[in-house]
Amino acid sequence: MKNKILLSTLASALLCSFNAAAELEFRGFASVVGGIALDSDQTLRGYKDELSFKPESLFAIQASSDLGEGLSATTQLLARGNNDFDVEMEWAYITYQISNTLKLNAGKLRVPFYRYSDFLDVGFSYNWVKPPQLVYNLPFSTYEGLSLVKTGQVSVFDYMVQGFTGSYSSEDINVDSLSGINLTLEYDEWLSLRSGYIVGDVTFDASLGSLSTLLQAYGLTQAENDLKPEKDDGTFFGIGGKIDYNDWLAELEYTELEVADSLLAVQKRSYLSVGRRFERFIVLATFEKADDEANDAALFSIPLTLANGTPVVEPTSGLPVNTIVDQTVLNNAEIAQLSDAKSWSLGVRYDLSYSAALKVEYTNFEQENRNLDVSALRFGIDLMF
Amino acid sequence: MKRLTTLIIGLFVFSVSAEVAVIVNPSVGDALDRKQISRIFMGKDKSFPSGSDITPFNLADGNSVRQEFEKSVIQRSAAQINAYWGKYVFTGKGSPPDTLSSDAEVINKVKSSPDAIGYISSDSVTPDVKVIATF
Repeated sequence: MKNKILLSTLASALLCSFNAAAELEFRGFASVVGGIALDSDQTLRGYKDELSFKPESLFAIQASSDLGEGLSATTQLLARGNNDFDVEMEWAYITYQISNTLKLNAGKLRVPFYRYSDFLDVGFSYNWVKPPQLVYNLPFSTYEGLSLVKTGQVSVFDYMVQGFTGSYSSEDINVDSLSGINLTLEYDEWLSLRSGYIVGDVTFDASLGSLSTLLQAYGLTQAENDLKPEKDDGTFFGIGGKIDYNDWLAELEYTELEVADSLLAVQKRSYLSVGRRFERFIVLATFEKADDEANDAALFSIPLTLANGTPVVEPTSGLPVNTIVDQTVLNNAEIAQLSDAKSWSLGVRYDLSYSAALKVEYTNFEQENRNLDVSALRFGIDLMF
Repeated sequence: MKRLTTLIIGLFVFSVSAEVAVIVNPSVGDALDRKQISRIFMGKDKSFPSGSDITPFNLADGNSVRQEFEKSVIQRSAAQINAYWGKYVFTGKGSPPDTLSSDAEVINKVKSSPDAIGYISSDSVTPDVKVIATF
């Protein structure tokens, strides 16, 4: 009897010290998505007219460790099919829980552009195969810096305010003083509203091609600077909401991006998604739209005669950069007509279990001024573990 | 007649065993309704109405009492609740309640900590805990 007590005391003491020393928690998610474009010679979301599983499949593992005193450390490793499944550290941050309602994150984090920015890759948490591409189209999604999140209640709403600051840099794009604030309001389990504002000093590699040579030949360096995005003020604004009421679903987002003194078009993007839940099934229709506009201020700095004589410039119609089709938007700047694209999708989600969902989605994408009209069929499974 | 009695008792026992009891420490004086309990388990409320901290504990995934609790209190499917938590756990914004593996463990946790809240089959209730609501 005595021995038994001793043994169990020893065991629990060991267990306690083990817990305190290494409470490492692993979680993960994965999406395996296959798709095919239904028109030859055209691509949609990276899919061609042959079945491929690369463009949107991904695997992620997250490890977090409770360090005590409100501190914790988290890393998320992500392998994307479109990056040959090379493992990259997508998130790496330390959290300090200042109080029950106030949390500070520091490290490599997600830029909160959109409603789904934070869990962009966690397919299980939304009903599309991937979030709408005309809205979710920016070429970067992370930053290094700080984020402060405050939650609470005000009148009938639960609110979450996030303020953040930091920077992003890659080979092609640099954003300094990247800062923003966003507010989410939730009401009575079925309504959620969100709005966000972000600013930053944007520099990216935009080749102006022959136009650049021409401007330099004429000594129009100011005009060239006005077109090139170099430490120019970028502003991003987004507003959106979601209703999940009596198994009816509706979601809406509208975003605007402008980089002053650059040839990047003013991007105005939106989507509306309407759906219905039938037990384990969700049927969902989504409409997306791009109404981009020329960045007039930048364009006015090119003498019209010169612009007219430039082969890459469409006469009279301005010089907006078309950023829609290639997701590599900014580093692949093309000078083309005003971007005006739309897309519609019809999709089904089926919950296999509490942690696995099957999805099928048909999408049609149309952009008249580039003569694009392409459809794709995608299907996949999303897991969370 | 005997058969009928057995049947009635059987039905009674069945319906009783299907009930979920939400339990707290006997020292807790607060009352909670369904919505409040749901908010606590969804991470929205972190304190009792009286202001003291509250920590919810789940039973394991797939546990039948948990399924009943999610159906009648949270009123969403297990997949929906999991998807909801996916938005928090992979973004450093929160985490779902810790899980305990049995009714007995929930009772132990609740009787020893005044800030704990859990749910068990109403058959398992002991005098060590206070039932704050049944569903």
